[in-house]
Amino acid sequence: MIDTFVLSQLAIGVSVGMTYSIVAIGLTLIYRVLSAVNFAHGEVYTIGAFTTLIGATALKLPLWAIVPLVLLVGAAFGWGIERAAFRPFRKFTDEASLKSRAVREATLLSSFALGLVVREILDQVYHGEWLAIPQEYLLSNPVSFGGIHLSAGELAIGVVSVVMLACLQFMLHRTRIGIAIRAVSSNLIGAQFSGIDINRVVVAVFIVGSLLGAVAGMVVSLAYGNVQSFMGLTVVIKAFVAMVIGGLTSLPGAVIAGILIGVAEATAGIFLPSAWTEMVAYAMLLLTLLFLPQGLFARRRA
Amino acid sequence: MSRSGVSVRLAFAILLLALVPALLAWAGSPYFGRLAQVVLVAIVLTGALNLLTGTAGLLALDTVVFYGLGAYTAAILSVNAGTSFLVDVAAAVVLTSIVGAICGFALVRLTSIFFAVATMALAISFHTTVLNWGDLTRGPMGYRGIPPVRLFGHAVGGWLESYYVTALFCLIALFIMHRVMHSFYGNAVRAIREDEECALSLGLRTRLMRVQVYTLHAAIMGAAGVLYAHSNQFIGPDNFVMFESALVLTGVIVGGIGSLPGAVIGGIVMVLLPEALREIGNLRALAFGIVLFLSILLLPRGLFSEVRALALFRRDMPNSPWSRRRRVP
Amino acid sequence: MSEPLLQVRGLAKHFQGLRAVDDVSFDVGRGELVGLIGPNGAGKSTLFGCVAGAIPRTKGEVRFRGDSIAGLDPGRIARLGIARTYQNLRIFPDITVFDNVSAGAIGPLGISLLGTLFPPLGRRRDEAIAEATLAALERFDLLAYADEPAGNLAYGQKKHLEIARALALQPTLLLLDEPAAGLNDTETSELAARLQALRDAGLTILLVEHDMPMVMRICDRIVVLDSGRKIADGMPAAIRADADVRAAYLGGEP
Repeated sequence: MIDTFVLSQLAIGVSVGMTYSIVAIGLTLIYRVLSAVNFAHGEVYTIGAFTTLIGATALKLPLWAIVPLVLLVGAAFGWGIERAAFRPFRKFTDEASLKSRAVREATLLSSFALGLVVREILDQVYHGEWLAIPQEYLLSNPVSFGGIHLSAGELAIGVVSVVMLACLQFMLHRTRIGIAIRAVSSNLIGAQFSGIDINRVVVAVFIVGSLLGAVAGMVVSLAYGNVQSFMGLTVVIKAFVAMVIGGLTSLPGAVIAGILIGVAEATAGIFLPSAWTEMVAYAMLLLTLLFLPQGLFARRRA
Repeated sequence: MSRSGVSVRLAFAILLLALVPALLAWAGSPYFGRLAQVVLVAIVLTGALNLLTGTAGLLALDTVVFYGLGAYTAAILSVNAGTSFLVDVAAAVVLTSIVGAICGFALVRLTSIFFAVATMALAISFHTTVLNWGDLTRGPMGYRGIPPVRLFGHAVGGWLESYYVTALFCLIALFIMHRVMHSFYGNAVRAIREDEECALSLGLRTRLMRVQVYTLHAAIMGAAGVLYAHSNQFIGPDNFVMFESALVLTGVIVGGIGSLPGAVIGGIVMVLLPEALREIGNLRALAFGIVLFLSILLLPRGLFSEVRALALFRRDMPNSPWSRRRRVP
Repeated sequence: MSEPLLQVRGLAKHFQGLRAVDDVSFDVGRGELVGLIGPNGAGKSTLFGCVAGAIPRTKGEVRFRGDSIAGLDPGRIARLGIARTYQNLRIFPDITVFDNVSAGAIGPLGISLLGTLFPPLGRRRDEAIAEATLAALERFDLLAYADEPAGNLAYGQKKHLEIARALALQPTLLLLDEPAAGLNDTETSELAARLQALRDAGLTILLVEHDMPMVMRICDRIVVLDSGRKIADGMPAAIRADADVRAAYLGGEP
């Protein structure tokens, strides 16, 4: 019989992993459309958390009001990233120009720089401290079932993630913009010829991804109770790892890979001091890039 | 015209070996001596990264790994085994070359952005290791009491002499990088960067050459790390956070990707700018983020572009009868 | 009588159900200038890609100087003496003309980091590279443009540059993929003359072309592909008269 402690740790690992999954989805969507990486994506997560903080402390809003605020700020921020770091390099929207190496590298750097700027601004404003969210908002009540002990927040992360994934699936398959996104992801030229506006799809993808990321940041901040300006950076790197392991263009792959990373970290955490568990994700990344470069669920392009 | 390349190099050497020390001696403060050495180390780092990211076209964020390996090798050896400066350099170069060759061999076949992220992962892993492997690296407290440069048993006296040693090594490193970049080898590496598949069809050994460049850049950075350790006499994990890699990369981009003069300019700016704007102190990171962003957006070729650099040093192509034949109609 | 320089036997390349190249066999003899023609989509460039090692073949044999080269990587094949150009012109626009061509000379002669760092070691090799580069530049009258960034050249000159670069490899066999594409009549005649001169000097050339008059004029032999299969192989006069070839191009009995 597995120790309940181990079970609980694994459950937490799954929950943490789902955070990576949600953030990874944002990255994957962008990658599918632009073949580019958005390194400012982690800041969306951070902004979601900070918006929660501000909503709770400065604005003293009730929880149900904070949620739409986070969504709004998240979407706006995502739009901003696209405008500032990606749009300026997009002079033409044919496939070769859109996904050229020069543009991909330039946007990697520009989004990295933008993320850095945002992080540092937050760092300056809040002096790099870990800031606490008021007790009444937190989801820290313990919850147990089947031998697993978690906090309500950790459970909430899992539940909210599943709900968001369901919404995403709905959007991608049942709304016009979602179908447009899928069309552009699988066949850019075909989509263009069908009259789909590439720029609109790109903006939509950024907004959707940012919504997901911001909500993830919100839930995590409510679960663990504190926020810090650099919290998004570690998450986005692990989300990137999840994206790569998942096969770069596969959404289910990114989700599963995210959970795998979370579980791997939790497992490692049982045996190693916590500082070293950081390396689990990087080790997984390097191993994947070396031995399984196409990831677990690479989709075959038609 | 044809002399321009040679005169630039000569002028720079004179600057480094005569003018600057004269200024430093006149100013008389060890602080400026230390600063000058930091600038020199930055130039070497930027130049080496430029070799990899500019000439070879491999966007990399792993500067701190090899720089740090070199620095810690120097620290550990000289503090615990009392080795002299040259031994430290040799040991660091050997170690970073081996590690560089291994990493290079493993990573080089990854395409651009994945190579970049893999190097980022390496950098972060290195930092985490340095921070936590206290037994080896003395962890967060850093390595104190690294002896100053000792050449052939004779302890290099004051900060001015220390500056000379650093300047000399800087010039040697620059010379090596210059030779590699402005030669047929450099040309081949640029061709591989421009179009790998095409370069392969021309018979160039693309993978091998990329690994070679990676190894060379690692070795040079390792040597720079030794220089830093001995001139600063203290190193700590904070010197090797991933952000430092980004800093050096910013220097390369701002100065000019693929151009050695650009890298020199970038290195100088990177160190002196925050010094000049002392008041902004811990806004350094923010400023660099903005500088990097604006650079990529507005001045992607940098302050001194590769095209200009190649034209400037055109006649420096070694042993080429081309410069002789050119007069023939 | 020595064996043919290039022997292609039963070469096939399938792309998930599409037979781009289907059981093609032909020879190219030493010193021959062979033309490979066919309607669009006949598989000519794919065939080139397979021979040059850029595209892995599905089936079949390719022998160069009697040795099998199928499955070797393009770098190896280039160093064995096969140089190629591309249909869509792949030169390096941001570096100078001289540097473009020298990139071709470097590969087969080999270059080492050590030789670069220690000039005495690399001197002879550097001179050999420079010689090969200059020779290739002279052949195509590009010496005057040596210092220009390649991107500044006129289209016709760029095409010549690409061939010059391939020549710098000092190859035994030259594969040219539509060298006359986009050239006007004068340029095409110049090209034709140059190719003949190269052939006369001993170089073996296999070229893919759409420009019929040029092909008919300069080629010693012509191989015709249609939908991946070889439908004719012979001297220009015979090909011109061949009914199958006519049908392939015109889509039916004339």
